[in-house]
Amino acid sequence: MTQTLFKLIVKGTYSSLTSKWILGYIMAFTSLSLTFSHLGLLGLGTVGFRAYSGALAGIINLNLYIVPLISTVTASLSIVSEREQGTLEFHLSLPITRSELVMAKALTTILAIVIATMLGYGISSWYLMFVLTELDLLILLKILAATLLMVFAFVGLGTLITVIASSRFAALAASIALWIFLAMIYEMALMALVMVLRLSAADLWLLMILNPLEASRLLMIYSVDPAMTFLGELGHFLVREAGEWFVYPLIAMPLVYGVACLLAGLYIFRNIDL
Amino acid sequence: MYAIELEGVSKRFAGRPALENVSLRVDKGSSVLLVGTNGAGKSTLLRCVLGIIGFTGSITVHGLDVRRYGKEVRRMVGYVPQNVRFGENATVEYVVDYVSDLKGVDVYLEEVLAPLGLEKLAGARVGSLSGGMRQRLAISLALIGDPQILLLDEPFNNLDPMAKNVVAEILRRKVEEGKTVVVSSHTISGLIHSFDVVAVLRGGRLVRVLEASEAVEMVKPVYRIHVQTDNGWRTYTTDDLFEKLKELVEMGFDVKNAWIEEPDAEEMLRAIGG
Repeated sequence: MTQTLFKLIVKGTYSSLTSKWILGYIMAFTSLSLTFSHLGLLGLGTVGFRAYSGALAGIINLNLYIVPLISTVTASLSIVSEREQGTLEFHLSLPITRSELVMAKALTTILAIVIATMLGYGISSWYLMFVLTELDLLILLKILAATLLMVFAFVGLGTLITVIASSRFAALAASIALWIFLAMIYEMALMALVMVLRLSAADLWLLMILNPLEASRLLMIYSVDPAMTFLGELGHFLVREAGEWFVYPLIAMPLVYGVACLLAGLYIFRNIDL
Repeated sequence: MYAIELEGVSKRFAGRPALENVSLRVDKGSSVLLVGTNGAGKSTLLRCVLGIIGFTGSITVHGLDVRRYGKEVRRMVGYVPQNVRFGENATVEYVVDYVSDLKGVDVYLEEVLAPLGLEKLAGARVGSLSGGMRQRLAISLALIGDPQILLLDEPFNNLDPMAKNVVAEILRRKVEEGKTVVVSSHTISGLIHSFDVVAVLRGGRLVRVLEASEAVEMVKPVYRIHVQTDNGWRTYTTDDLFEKLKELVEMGFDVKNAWIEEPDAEEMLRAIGG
């Protein structure tokens, strides 16, 4: 299994990195992160921590919108496209198991997005170099790690979509709908619930971490502001009640999503009649 | 032990039977022509043997249960699908490299491509190849690693008489080397002489299995080959198309542009119960 998987990943990563979705992502992510970095530095007409935190806030928001979208869309098209183009039969006629094919597609997508994202981060870091201290670099690395967790969760969700979807159109529609729900509607629904039901900070926290995107958002905020003052009452509750322990569910949740969705995708694809 | 053994194999697509209780034994080193009209179940049967699709009943290849040892089975089988599809942007060289890598064999590109006249197309993109060239590429890929069994689904589609002759010659040589060859075709025209056994499928049922010589007696095919010479067209009549084409090539005729009058395909099929 390992050898075949390795071969498939090596072959697939190059193809993924040259796919129009990933190339578009590289260009969009790099240019937007550079723009945010530049605007952050210009913000006060000077350089310094405030300018840097402005740039970081921009990059975090950019991450939270663009990374889940590209991860879900790319993964959700991976197998259904092969099925629709008729190339799936060619792959499955070779000495590969269905599990190896699904795993290779998912890992290849993760690798391609990670490489593309690191490229964007790398260029921003280079641009921000003259205001970065060692501590700032550590923060940037923590945000990058949180981003990777988010990629894993959303590639898992995309993989589940790709094995179920009947067409590329259906896969694309499902992944965009999922992204809109998790990136936009979920947050608004939470705000509404807090106001209508007067939810406690503990309830809000539980509802937030059910969404891998919100979990990643909290993790990124924690990377920049360990006291969680940005979050007001919720941040105060987390730090007071759980100390640093609240970080672990934030790390675990995207991992749980990724693993659960990948396992479900594997199970479905192994048993589906093509 | 048989090369391939099917026992009570059935398959349904959306409730419609595609194969019904098919039992067939294929000896090692033999060649079988699987014939039937469109929709008779030929492609489905080959896909079941490869373990690409699910079925009821049992199939073993060289004693290995296809469901349990699908990967091992596919390692010893070279397969040509009916609708040959590879990634359109991949080059011929990449596809050869991909297949040989997954089959775990080292090959020289020239060795793979030259037998079917594709050596000059190594750098060409698959999307730019004609139907005939794709078919030749699919056959070349199936031969990688010198597999014990060849399953070819309508391999003569889109091929000109010269290429058909080359493929028939390659298959004959493989059988001489002790390999097992199963070819499916909706027409028996020109093919009977090249096989040991003819198996006839109709409406998903295996209705007849007979020796090729027996089938020839029942069909009595007559082919008229019109070949262009310096003095105009000359016509040759034969009951063994490929043998005659080979003879004409040896005589120095250009059979690539030969016009072949084939006996009525449906009538031939009906004569043997198809």
